[in-house]
Amino acid sequence: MKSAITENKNNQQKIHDLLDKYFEGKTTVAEEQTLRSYFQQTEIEPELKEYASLFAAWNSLYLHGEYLPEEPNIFIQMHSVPQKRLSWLRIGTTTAVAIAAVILFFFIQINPKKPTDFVVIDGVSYTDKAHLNKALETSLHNVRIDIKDVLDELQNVYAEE
Amino acid sequence: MSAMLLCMLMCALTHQTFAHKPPAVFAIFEKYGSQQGVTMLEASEELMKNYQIIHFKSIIFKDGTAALPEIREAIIKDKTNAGRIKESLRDGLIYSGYYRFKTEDTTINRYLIFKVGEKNKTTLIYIEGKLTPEQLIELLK
Repeated sequence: MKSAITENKNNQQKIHDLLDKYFEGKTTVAEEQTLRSYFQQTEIEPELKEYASLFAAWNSLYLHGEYLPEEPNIFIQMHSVPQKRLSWLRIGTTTAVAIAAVILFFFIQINPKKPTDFVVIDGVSYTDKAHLNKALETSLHNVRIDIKDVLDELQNVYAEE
Repeated sequence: MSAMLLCMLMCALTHQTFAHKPPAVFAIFEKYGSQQGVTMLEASEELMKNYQIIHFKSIIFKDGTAALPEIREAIIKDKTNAGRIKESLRDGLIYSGYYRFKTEDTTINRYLIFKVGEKNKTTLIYIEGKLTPEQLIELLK
């Protein structure tokens, strides 16, 4: 009785090991046959029942000749290769986006758009300092006199703050 | 992951773009800056470094009668973003005003100054920089 239980446990362990190999795409044709046979039986370990439908479908493909036994685990390969490519594509895209984001962010930080100095008088543009300074003085002068009272009042407000 | 990074990137760009939303009066500079009878000045840190100003814009209309309704409309829009306002009104119209915009960056102040003088000579100034209100008052005294 004890040896039967031990044998059963060994079988279960073997199936677990084969499943691991299967999902890694490393099983041989014979090992896959073992798995198919296991999942065709009625007494399946409860935690492995979720794989029963997968192997039932796989068995069906095998019976209809859509599975190629000479290529070990080709059914899994057919599906796993695009997934691997997809993974690399995702990693590549993520890396590229991350790099672009970092570069763009620092570029914006380091090179904020700086306004250039110029003055336009009656539609004519000047960039020399004489024109610039004159326009600056005129601008400040124009608001200087009239706004003085307001600013004096403001100074009191800020003094209170 | 990609979506998250893209989202972060968009947020960074959005922050850069709208952190300092341009005042509505900038449209006045764009529209009237090159017209006859108008003097428009755009100065950066280099010219204004003695004043701790990083961006200075001014526009002077010899006669601002035609543009005044539009200018006042823009100022009224900008007033909603101003934390400090001082105005002089005549017949309900703004004739001179001082506006200090609210800002997230406490080291940078943004001001708008407006005045209508004799014969509707109109001056509008935008100032952005580290200068404090006290320093601005000194500059305009």
